[in-house]
Order: sequence, then structure tokens, then C-alpha cells
Amino acid sequence: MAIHLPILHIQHLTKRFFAVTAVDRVDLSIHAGELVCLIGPNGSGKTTLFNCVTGFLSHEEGHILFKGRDITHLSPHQIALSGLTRTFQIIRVFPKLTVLENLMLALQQHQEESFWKCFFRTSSIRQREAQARLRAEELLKFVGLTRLEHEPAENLSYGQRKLLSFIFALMPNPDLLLLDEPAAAVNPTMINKMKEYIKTLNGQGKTILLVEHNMEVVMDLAQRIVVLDHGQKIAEGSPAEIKQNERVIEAYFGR
Amino acid sequence: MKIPRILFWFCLVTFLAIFPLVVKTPYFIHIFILVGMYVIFALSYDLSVGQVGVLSLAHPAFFGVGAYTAAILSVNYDFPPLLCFLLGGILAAVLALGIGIPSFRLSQHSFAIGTLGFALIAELISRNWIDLTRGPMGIPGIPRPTLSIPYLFSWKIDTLTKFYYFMGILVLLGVGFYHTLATSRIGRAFRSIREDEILAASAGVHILKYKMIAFISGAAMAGIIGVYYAYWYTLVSPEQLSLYYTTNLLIIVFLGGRGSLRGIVLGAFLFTALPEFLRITPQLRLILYGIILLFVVLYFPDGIERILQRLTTPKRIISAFEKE
Repeated sequence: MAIHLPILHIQHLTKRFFAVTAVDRVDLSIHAGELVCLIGPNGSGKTTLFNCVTGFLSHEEGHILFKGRDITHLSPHQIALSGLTRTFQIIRVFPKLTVLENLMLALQQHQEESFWKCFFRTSSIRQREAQARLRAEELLKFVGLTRLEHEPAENLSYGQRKLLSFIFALMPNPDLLLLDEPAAAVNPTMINKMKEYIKTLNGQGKTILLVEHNMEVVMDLAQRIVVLDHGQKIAEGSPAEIKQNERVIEAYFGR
Repeated sequence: MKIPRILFWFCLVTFLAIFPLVVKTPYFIHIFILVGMYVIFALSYDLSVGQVGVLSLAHPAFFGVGAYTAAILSVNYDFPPLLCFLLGGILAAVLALGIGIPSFRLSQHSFAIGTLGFALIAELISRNWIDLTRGPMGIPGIPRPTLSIPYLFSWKIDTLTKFYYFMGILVLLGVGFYHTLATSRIGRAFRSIREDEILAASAGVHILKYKMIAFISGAAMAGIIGVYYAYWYTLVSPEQLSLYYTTNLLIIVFLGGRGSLRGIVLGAFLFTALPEFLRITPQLRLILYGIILLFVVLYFPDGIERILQRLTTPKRIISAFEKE
């Protein structure tokens, strides 16, 4: 068997906001097919790490390799197009666009065509639009939003928008999916549903990195847990190992 | 619902087509040409302001480039009008590229101010580069154009009615371009930027590229309509680059309805024709116009388009949720 290179390889990542070091020399590797959870107290740098990886923030030191390619200096849209998509902690959807339009947009840039082809809607464009639509409908069915496909996203409830933003990130069938608190601020039924979706996806071979505060969700889902505190990686291991880890307990509950 | 809409557009186009044959008053024909000009001008402006959601204040500069291109080339060098139309559009697009590259680095509000700076510079150049533009005197005596392609056709536009129909063709082209672009997947990318730039980037949308597409194609449209203006008005002066035009455009686009074709067409008609028709009471004209503007701003801040939406789709949203 060939040597497995990690799909995402973060080396010594450091991000400073003036005097504050939000992410401090973090190393992290994720292999294809893994489901890794990133946890840590508030302000420990989880979301900052996400923003660095997806190109929304530039970092001071370190390298980020995605599929063996250095994406350190790429802009967010280039990183997205290379097969790494994400959701946001604060739900983002395009409010005035319909659910279907939201999803179609999530895919169209991945099959980009020239201006005039798009303008004149050549047969290749129409074909791609049809493909995108099929994909969107498949995902809407997956999370049970089919009924709302022609509704502007602003008319959706909070939970529905959360689901929409989740399948939005799934539209281009990314090689790595970053989920920022998928179970935050939704009711228990939705949390269970979300867990099921994530499990199903991972079962199909999707590589997922997620930030989550809900420990029940984390312990249930994660194959491996990475713990950040004050921007530093303080522990890494299986859920059972993390539960026993002194430093983690200390970080969460104090001495 | 589909048939009445087609009928409506059919009636409108028919009405506009026979209008100059029935109404012989040059004044009204002039007003309709002006409305047509503002329809295209406002649509070109809306590509960046309404579709992408970036507030540019440099738009009259593109119009002015078109107008001056036509004036200088046809008065001094006797260029064929069709070539002037082409060059007017291209030069405006090139200028937009030059303004866009530095300006799009700025955030929302700074972008507006930055482009305002460019608009003022353009006006200053038109006033002070006397050798080229004759300064405040402007360039008069622009000849009536003859649109011709050798061996194919030749159309001398020398009467008001011909100008009217020429404008009709331009409006159809302009509306067609705007509508095709806005409903294509490029238009979808435009709106995604307007709605949420960060999410758009995370979906792989090259923000700068799409902003540029909207800005440059809008500028080209404005340049072309500037060329028309030069031929129609026969005089180009620095006033055509002034902020007066920005104000009119802002009124039409914002009170008509950003990002909406029918809102802008209607807005262009109302806010161009209205001040003219209000001339029946010369003393009260501007006061009435001001009051109407204030009324629209207060009660329909999202523009006339909102009123139309409420009339045409009253209960759609509610019905979708009743099923739950």
C-alpha cells in the first residue's frame, strides 16, 4: 500500500492579532475519510484556525498543505475551488435568493465557464445547470427541505437555514468539509438529525473536521479529538483518551 | 399569470412604436428619447449598484467619455458613427478597468468616495484640457449620424422621429443585455456578492472578477449611450459629467427598485417624465417633484418595485408555510 499523505496538513500555524496570539504553533493532520473534532474553551482559537485554513485570515507563520499543495497564500475562493468547503458559526445564506438558487450558486463556480458561454447559455451551460439542479435536489431530499426549494432563504426558520448552509457546503462534493458548530443553537431533535447526517456522510467516506461545543455530539461523532487552549494544541487523541486527559480537564474546569 | 404579462409588454411596445406617428409634438418625442436614455443609463448603473451591490459614483464619467469620444472623433476627424459607438463603449470600459482596479481594493463606503473622486477628476479634465475638449465652451456642431456598413445598409438619422426609433433599438438592446446577464449564472454570482460577500467567496466566487465584470459592462453601456447623447443633442460640454447625473441615477435606481428591470424602467419613466410634465405649474414644479420624492422615500424605501411585488404576489409566502 502506498504511503498515505494527510489530506490536510497544518504545520506550525501561528496567527496573531496585535499582541494576542490566537493560534500558537499548531500542528494538525487529517487523513482522508477521518472525522476529527476540534474542541476547546471559548476564545481558544478554533474559529480563527478555520478562518486561516479557508483563507479568510492570513497567518504569520506556518504552512497549510491541502492535498499536498501549499494553500497558504491562496484566497478564499481559490481554496474553496480546490475542494475545501466550510460552514460558518453564524449561519450564512443568501437571503433573497431561493433555496435552489443558493445551492446552484454553491456549485456553479466549480464548473466555471467563460463569460460569453454563460451569457448565451450554450448547451454545455444548460447541461451543467441541469446537473447542479439534480445535485441540489438530491441534497434537499437528504435533509428534507425539498418542499421549500423555491422559497427565498430569508423565509426559512433558523434550523432550516442551518440545514441549508450545511448542504450548501456539500454541493460541490468537497474533499474536506469544515463544519463550524453544526449543533449550536438548535433543538435536540435537530442535533440528533445533524449527527445522523454527519455520520452518514462520513460513512460514505467524506473527510470532516468540525468545531463543536456540545460534548455529547463530539464524543459520539469523533474518531479523533484535538483540543486547543489559548491557541495551543494541548491534547490529541481518541474520545476515551481525551476524557481522561488532565490538561483538558484543567482547561475546561480550571484547577 | 403568464399571458397578461406578455400582453402587457406587447401593448407597451406597440404603443411606443406608433407613438411618434400619432403624437407629432416634438417636445413629447424629446421626453421619450430622454426616458429611453435614462432607462439604459440606469440599467447600466444598476449592474454594479443593484446587482452586485457596490455603490459607484463614477458613472457619469463613463457617459462623458462616450459623449466626448463621439464629439471629438466626428467633429475633428469625421469618424463613421458606428465606429464611434464602438470606440465610445470600449474607451468607457477601459476607463472602468482603470478606475476599478484601485477602487475595488477599498471597502464599501470608501469605494463610493473613491469613485466620486474619479468622477470629479473626469469633470475637471473636461473643463481644463482645453486643447482636447475646448473646456467649458464644449464641443458644438456634432453632425447628424449616418449609420452604415459598406455594401450592407446605410441609415441617415436626420429627423427626430428617426432618433426616436434609433433609441427604441438601443433600449431593446440594452434591456436585452441587462436581462440576459442578470438572469444568467453570472447574474446569480452578482447577487450572491450583494447578499453576502464572505459566503460567496466560500462558494468559490471570485469577488473582484465579478465586480469588475459588472462595473466594466455597465461602463460600456453608459459609454454607448453617451455617444448617442452627443449625436442627439449635437453639443457636448462638461455639464454632462456633472454630479447632476449621479443624483438622477441614484433616484431612478433606488426609488425604482435596485436590481429589478421593471422597477428601473418604471423609475426612469416616472422620474424623467414627471419633472417635465409638472411644467404645467412652473412655479410649483420642483416643489411638487421634491414632495413626490420624499413621499416615495418615506413610504416605499425599497422603491416602486416593492409596490409592484405586493400587487402581483400577495400571498405566496404565507401559502408556502401554511402546509407545515
